[in-house]
Amino acid sequence: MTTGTGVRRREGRLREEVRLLAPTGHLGFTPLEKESFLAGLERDPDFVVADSGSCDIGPYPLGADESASPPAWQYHDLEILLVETRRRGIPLIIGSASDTGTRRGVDQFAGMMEDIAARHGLPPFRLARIYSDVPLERLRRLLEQGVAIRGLDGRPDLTLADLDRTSRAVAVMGAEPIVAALDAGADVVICGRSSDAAIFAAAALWCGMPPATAYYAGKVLECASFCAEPFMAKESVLGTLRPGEVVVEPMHPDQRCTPASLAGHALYERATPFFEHVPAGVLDMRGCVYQALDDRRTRVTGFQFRAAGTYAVKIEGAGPAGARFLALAGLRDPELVARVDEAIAWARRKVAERYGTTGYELFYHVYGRNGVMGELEPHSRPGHELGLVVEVVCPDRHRGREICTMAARQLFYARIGGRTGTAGRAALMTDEVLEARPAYRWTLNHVVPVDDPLSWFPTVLEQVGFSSPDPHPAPDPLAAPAGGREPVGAGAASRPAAAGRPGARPGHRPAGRGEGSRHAPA
Amino acid sequence: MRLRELASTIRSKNAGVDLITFDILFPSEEAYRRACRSPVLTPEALCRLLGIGPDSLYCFVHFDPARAIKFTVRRRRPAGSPGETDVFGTQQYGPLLDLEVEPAGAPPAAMSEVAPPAPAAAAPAAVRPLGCGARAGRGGSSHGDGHSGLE
Repeated sequence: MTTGTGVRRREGRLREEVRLLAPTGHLGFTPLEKESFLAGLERDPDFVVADSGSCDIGPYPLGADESASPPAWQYHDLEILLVETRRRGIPLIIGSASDTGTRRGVDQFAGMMEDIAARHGLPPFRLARIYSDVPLERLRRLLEQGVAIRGLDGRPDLTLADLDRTSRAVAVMGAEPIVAALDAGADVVICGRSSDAAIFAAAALWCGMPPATAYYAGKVLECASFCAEPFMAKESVLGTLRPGEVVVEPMHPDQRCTPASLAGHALYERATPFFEHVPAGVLDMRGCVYQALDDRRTRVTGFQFRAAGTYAVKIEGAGPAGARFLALAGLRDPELVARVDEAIAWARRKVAERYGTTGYELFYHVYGRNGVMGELEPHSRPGHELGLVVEVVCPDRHRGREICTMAARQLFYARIGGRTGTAGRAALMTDEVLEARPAYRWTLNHVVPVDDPLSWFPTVLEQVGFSSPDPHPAPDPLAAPAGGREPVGAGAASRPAAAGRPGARPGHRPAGRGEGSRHAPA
Repeated sequence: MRLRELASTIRSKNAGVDLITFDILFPSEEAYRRACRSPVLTPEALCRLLGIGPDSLYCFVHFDPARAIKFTVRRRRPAGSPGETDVFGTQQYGPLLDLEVEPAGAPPAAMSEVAPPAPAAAAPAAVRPLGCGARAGRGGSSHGDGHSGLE
């Protein structure tokens, strides 16, 4: 049982200094390291902020709406974060819940938190869920109204055909819906798909930090210990913000945040180190100045933020490509290794004879030659043996399995001359064709102009944990029909709580436009 | 000297679902300047190395604060599509390792003007010089993160 009071620290919005603790760069991907997180809590952070999602894991999780991380690891991380922050009354923000940031992910994390709260007897707290699913119909209407939905990174603008290929889409939220949830009194915020920088920036903006400081802090902290050296994942990092400056310090005793490590992190998984785009504008890091305060801490200044003329959110979408089958083969005979392209050509021809050349995709990945880099490989000299992965994607599952079987067995029977290996021209690891999970594609990587930042991100605020019913509830400015949702905290209400907050009301209520009344962002 | 001996970090990684970015970091100012002058670390030479056309090079920059050369290429197909071989884009830097930074007889690379890809909304007319020179990319801007990767 916790002995904490669960009192929220939300006084003094205009703070001179704000401390943000980043415990992990991708909650649940692998379990976070608890020790440096506890060390970070000793520094009395104002917020704990953790991202839990990515589009780097490929299109399958979003397209199929499944998490990429094992739920047990997600629970592990959430349990540490929730119990320790509630014990100290520190607000907690989780971004891109359960990898995809879909409603499934947000509700899954909320359910875990309710379970954790009940098991630990946490004092009641207010939990906000911010959803970011985008009904495809909404995008379709915008296109029909002639709104240009711009493609990113060289993609063409969105077309109706792109939507027809899409099974699921999410909008990447900025700081505004999160600030609104904090305004509405949330102690814990679970975000759908969200900009990594924005989940940190929201906490800082809510405390009155200027946008440039807030977004730079988000940019540098979002991957936690990745901004420090030597390389360690899943360790906590603390950012201390004052208007115009961010000081970054690792919480693991063997790590250092140096000018080089912070500047190097500006490069990480971004096309350029100079700009970070968020819905409200762009963070310009060209003028950043990095100054070592000591061996472990570095201060960054010189960042700027320019508000965008049009508020615009990024849309991610994925759609199914077909059933997917794999077969594995190897070549050891030097003659066959040298003639692998002929063997593949033979097998392709035999597939085409029976199944034609359309309605499926067939790939031969040649490991030992260019299996990793494909067309980008400048040195395609084969090794002494080759591994082949035959990959088939086909909307018709039965046909796909047959095509993959043919594509592998015809390697075995390849007629490419020579007198060796006439009992079998390839080593099949197994004669079995392996069925993988269905294949998906990224169909949307676009930006849509948005007139109201909150209207795309409906928010629900609820109380988690038990408290005595308030005999004289105050008028609730947010009260609105619950839209048929059941109070999620109901399960936890059956057991006593360690401490109740005066005036706390059980049940949930919506916040933000689209589900109730509106809160202006800061 | 080969690049693997001169650099402290060489890596590749997705930058969103449509791009792969390469980071080459150097341990000292001297090593960084040598690399910046290298004729094998120019946009043109890297396109030749990877067998891609100039349109597939999204950007190329020198980044002084990190003592880094960074370039970003377009993917042939979005990450994780059928036929994918490296869903995170983390093993694409191999051919860089053995580049001879100062090949015999080759003149050093010319220092050119820097213009990193400007944000769509507020593109500055002139970008002040950054680093020891490089050249910029073309096309849009990678938007709002969304693409945080493993971390």
